[in-house]
Order: sequence, then structure tokens, then C-alpha cells
Amino acid sequence: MGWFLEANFILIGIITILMAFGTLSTKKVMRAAAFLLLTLVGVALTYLFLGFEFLMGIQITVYAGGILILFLFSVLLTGHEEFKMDLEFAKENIVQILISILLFFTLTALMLSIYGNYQLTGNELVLQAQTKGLTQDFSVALFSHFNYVLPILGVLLFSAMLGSVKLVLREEEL
Amino acid sequence: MSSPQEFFGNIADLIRGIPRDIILLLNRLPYVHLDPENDVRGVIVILMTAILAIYGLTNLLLAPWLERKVMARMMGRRGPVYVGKFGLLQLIADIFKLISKEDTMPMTADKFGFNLAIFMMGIATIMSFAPIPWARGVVGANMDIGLLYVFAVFSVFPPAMLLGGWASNSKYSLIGGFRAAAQLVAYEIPMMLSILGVLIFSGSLNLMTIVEEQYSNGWYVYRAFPGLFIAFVIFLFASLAETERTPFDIPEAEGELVMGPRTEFSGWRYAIILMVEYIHMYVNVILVIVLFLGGWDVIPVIHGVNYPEFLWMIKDNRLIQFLAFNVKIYIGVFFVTWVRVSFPRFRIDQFIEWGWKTLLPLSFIALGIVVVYAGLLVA
Repeated sequence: MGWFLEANFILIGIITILMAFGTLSTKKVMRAAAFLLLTLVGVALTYLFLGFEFLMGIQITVYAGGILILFLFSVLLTGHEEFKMDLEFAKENIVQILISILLFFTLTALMLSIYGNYQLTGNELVLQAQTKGLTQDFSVALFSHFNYVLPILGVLLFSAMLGSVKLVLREEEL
Repeated sequence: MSSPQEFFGNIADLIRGIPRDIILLLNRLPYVHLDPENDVRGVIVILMTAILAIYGLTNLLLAPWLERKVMARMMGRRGPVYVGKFGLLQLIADIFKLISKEDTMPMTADKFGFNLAIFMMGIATIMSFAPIPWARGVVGANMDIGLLYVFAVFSVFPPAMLLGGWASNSKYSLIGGFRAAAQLVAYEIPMMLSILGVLIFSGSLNLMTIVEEQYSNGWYVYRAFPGLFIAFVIFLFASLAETERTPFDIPEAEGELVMGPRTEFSGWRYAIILMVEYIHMYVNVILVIVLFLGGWDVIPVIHGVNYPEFLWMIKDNRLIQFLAFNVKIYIGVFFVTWVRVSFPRFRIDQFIEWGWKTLLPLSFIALGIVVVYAGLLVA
């Protein structure tokens, strides 16, 4: 089923790129947010093709469900005017375009130099996901090599959470 | 006549057999080389998910009827009686009415967002059926990240609600959308934290593994008492809040906001939103059952008590497991309705405060108890 997976991958890639373009080019902020949501879901599906299913779940939960909502709240609760895209070229635009083209080719060259010899076919993608057990490897590494880091991070985050609760409680007293 | 166990086995064989035949047929075409053993898996997942989703959806036709009937009885009314026996076909009549209505959209609405919000919610709800185990081995997609997947799918709701509320271009919708998003975000955190206790015991995000663990070692409601019981109560109320059921239906408070983010949706759009709401409630009830009440397990195991052989036979029968799961779901729907009739609506500030200041610390305490208990077990 290699061709099937590849066709799906190409389809999802094209949709994701189109949505990313929509995010940048639309005039309304809320529409941009909707496009961004679809872009994030598309990227999550790309992870799935690599066998990173855990990463896919986290990507959708954290970015689509958490960060995007923060964006929306901050955008809608603060005053904003609908911005317009001006497609007239100025000198700065040319520099920007040049820089982005340069960046694109650099990144492509970098990726080709690293992954150039390795051609992924659909069957290999599936095999990789089935045999390697990426999620398990990841968690084993996390809880064996980094087992001191996790509790410290947990305490740090917990203290931040307690601090925010404390802040909320103090506001009430004032 | 085959036994119930064989009956389910035969259905599973049939479902596996059809896609294999399709692939063998496809292989006769030029340039097509498919492996009938490996490539069949994806087709099975899609077919099983579709079959179980259709089963769930037809069951769903009964849930609103049950809710209306129970609500009416508790209020001293009779509920739907005219359409069909006992008013059983009332929902179908409602759906026909809604579909045949004129399709209207506010002139100033943002068409893109207005349509996208509905489709996002509709697709997400149906996708959430995939990893749910209905009996031993009867599951749409046996995913290792099943639980995370369900929550990932559900986390698409807050932006979709907000988008729908904004796109309607009405102040009631927008305020409702805000409330919905704030509520969903506030109650997702205690919900996630209350699940952590379950994950400590099961050691897996796979819903099938979670149920199997409860099958052999007892349901999670009464294990690590009272840690997981507190987690169960928190999860129950958080899931009621997630689905915007009545004590928590602040986003659509009809006295203040007409219908909240759904105000401007009418006709088939409203039918889809109604369906989404009920499926969301239904799947959340299923999650409570799978995570805390043993899933398809029939008789809870108690530590140190030896059951006779025939009880284990009942426990192992797939048909009984399947029926038990369904009975549990209907008891859950009944409970949700009961809560809806019994409690008045919270105010928005009380409600958000309750989530952040009561449920969140409580879920930490519950998690602490479970961790200590699990540590003692290991030691």
C-alpha cells in the first residue's frame, strides 16, 4: 500500500501548505486562527506518517486545544482592527523575499545533506512504526536517562501553578 | 446455531475477509501489487470504526428519547407519546422537521467560519468512536494512544465553538462562544489530572488494556480508596461540564444568551449541532465507564475473594460483556438526566471558580493518594 500512503502524504502536505498560506494571507484574524488550526492538524497528521503517534496526540491537544485558544482569547479580548494585506512591493519586501528564498534553499540543502541518501517508501514508514515502538522507546529514555530531570520539572511547574492559584486568591482579598 | 461467542468471532472473520477479497480482486489489475496480509489492516480499521460508529449512532437515537422520558417523569409530565410506540420515533420526526426547514444564514455572518465550525465539530465527534472497546476484542482501532487520541479529538471543540460563535456575527453567539471555550479549557485540566491515577495502575493509554486490567484486578472506582473514587467524581462532573449539561450549561443559558454559540444555526445545521452535543455526552459517559467502571467487565473482582467457575464463564462471555457495556451506558445516560433535572444552573463566575479552586486542588489530592498507594504496593 506504499502508493496509497504516499498519495495521502502528498495530499495532506499540499493541504497543510495551502492552509499555512491562508493563515498568512487572510484579512480576518479569526479566519487566520481557523486556518492555523487546520495547519496544526495537518502537521500532526504528518507526524502520524512517521509513526510518531504519541507526538500527534500531544500536538493536537497542546497546540490546537491549548495554545490556539490562548491566541484567540488574547486576540478577541483586546481591541484590534482588521488588518489589510498590502501586496504592493516596497524595498523592504524585496529584501524579505530574498532572505526567505535564501532560508528556504539553505534548509532544503541541509535536509538533503542529512536525509538525501535515505528514501522513505510507504511500506518502510509503516514498518518503522510497527517494529520500533517509538513511543515506548521515548518513554523508556525519558524515565531512565532523564529520571532526575522529570521530578524537578514537575516541582517547578507545580510551584508555578500554586503561584498562579495564590495570585488569584489574593486578588479576591483586595 | 452457534454460541454467542462464536457469533462475534464469525462477524470479526467476515469483516476481515471482505477487505482481503477486495485486495485480491485489485491485484488482478495491471501495476497493482498489494499484500493481502499487511495492507488489509487499514481497511479493517476503517470498516470496524464505521460499523461501531453506526451502531453507536443508532443507539444514540434512543438516548435523547430516554432523556426526555426520564425528565418528563421526574417533572410529573408524560414526555413524548404521539409519534410511534411510547413516542419512540419522536427524535426521527424531529430530525425530518429540522432537515426539511429552510436553510438560513445571517447576512452578516462569516460564511467560511459558519460552515467550518459545524463540520469540524461533526467530524471530530464521529472520529472519537474509533478506540472505544465494546467487548473483548470488539474495537474500531486498537490504538496504543487511545485515551490521548480521544482527548486530542475533543480538544478541537473549544476553537470550533469560538469560531462558530464569532462567525454568526451576533453578540449572544460570541459571548456564548467565549463562555464555552473558557469552560472547556477550565475543566479539561482537572479531567486530565484525574485520569493520571488510572494511568498509574493501567500503565497504558490503550483503552483495551485499561479495561483488561480492570477485568483481572478490579474496577478503578474502589481501588486505592478513596483516591480513585475522588478522581472518579471529579472526572464525572468535569465531563458533565465538558458536554455542557444542565447544571453547567452556562454557554447556552437560554435566559441570558438565547442559545449561546448555537443561536444563529437553524435547520440541518442545528440538527448536526444537536447530534454533536448528544454524541459528545454519550462518548463522555462511555469514557467514565471505560476508565472507572470496568468498561465491558460484568462482575467486579474483589481482592482476596475467589469466584466460582460459572462467574468467570459469565465474565468471559463476549455477548454478555457487550450487553453489560450497553446497560452501563444507559444507566450513565439516566444518571446524567437525573443530574440535569435535579440541579439549577450555576452562575458563570461560581462555575469557573469551582473548577479552578475546588476541582483542581482536589484532583491533586486524589493523585497524591493514588501515588502513595501505588508506592506502598510496590514496596
